[in-house]
Amino acid sequence: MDTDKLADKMKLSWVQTMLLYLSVTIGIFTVALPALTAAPYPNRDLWLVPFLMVPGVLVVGSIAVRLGLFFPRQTIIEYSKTLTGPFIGTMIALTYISWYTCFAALNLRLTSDFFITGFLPDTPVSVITGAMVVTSAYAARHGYQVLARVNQLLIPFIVGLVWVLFFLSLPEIKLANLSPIMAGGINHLVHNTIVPFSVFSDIVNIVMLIPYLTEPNQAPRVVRWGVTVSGLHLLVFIFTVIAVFGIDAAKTLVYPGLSLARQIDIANFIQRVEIAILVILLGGIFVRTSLGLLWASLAVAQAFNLNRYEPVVFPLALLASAMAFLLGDSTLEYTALFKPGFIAPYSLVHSLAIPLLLLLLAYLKMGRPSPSGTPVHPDQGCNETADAR
Amino acid sequence: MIILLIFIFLVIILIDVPPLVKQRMWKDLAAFSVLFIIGVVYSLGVFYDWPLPNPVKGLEMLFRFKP
Repeated sequence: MDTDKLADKMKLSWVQTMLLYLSVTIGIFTVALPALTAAPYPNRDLWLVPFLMVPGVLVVGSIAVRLGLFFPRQTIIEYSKTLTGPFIGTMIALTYISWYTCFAALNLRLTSDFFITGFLPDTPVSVITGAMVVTSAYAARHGYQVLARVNQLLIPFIVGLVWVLFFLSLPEIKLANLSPIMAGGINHLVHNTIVPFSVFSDIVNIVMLIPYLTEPNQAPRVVRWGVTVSGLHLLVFIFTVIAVFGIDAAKTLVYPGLSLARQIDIANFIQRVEIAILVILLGGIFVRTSLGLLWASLAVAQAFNLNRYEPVVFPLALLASAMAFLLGDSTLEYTALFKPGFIAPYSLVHSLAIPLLLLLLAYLKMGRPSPSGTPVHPDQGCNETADAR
Repeated sequence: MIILLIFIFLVIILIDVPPLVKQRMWKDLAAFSVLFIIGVVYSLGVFYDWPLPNPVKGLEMLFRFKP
């Protein structure tokens, strides 16, 4: 693909990339909170999950970054062909294309179901899905930079409103709901970590972003800060939900964030703040869906050596919206996809297994990369990729 | 509803196809057409309840872990 033409509309700084990751993770855990609703053993220790999850996700992220810095001017789609040959490389690309399309479809479904059950029960589901997909596809066609800048406008609201919800819920928090701590034992805690670990492993998608960073050697900072800060937000949110409702009520909630916002009532004056959840959801899911479509179309373009990725965005958006309906007939059916039996193997194959294999291959074929910490010179990156070919 | 769907298909074709033909990017046009046809078939399939193979069920068969 002609990278020069893309350069202008795709350039990102590491802070922008980190903020994109924050929106991607915060959007989903405030509304769906799969860490709670899909936990195999929902108990009152769930708020400790981020302490186990963050180190694991940091490992996933650092594998992705190491792999990315072997080829600082290519995405995983391009160098998987270099490392494994054209046939297996294309197979890997197809796996990622389907993963990203599913990623977009799942978000579309999550939004439309949330709107139908929570706010607009009489609106046809296709209207909500359609509005969401058109906006996201439009953003995806305009590249990373536009998306990152829109995200910069959205992120103060997304992050700020999580904290607003926390502070407004403070009067309702009953610390007694959290004791006894660790009654379920470490075993249940580890099992409960699987789902959030799989969701937060989205950090691996930095392999699609590294070549577009203004300074690729800043990628480790994206992982460090992005994962830690989003882990902190997950901690705050899940702590609030459990401390306010108690685990017995909390584990029956379909949308814990929405229920949390609905029960806020300060002196009969601050009420009905669920609009905050709506803003977080719309912002976060818009960024998630746009990134899913952008990654899927970039992957198609790079896998099949197209000149531009833009023409395939709309067809993929069409496919993603059709897939959103195929995910299941009811909310229960598709939220079952978040259960550890499916999401863990599905997500970890893409976020851990394939990158790890590629990293091993890269070490075997090319030796050690330049020592970490030394900046990667742009020309050096180009030479490396040219040599690899 | 179906008219709206066809209208959307036409808009997508009008936005994407003319520049590709003008710039003679046949490979891009082929990729677009394949994905677009799959997209059209599946969106009509969802609308009319056609018995199409469900990719999500396929993924579940591949990745569902049964201890």
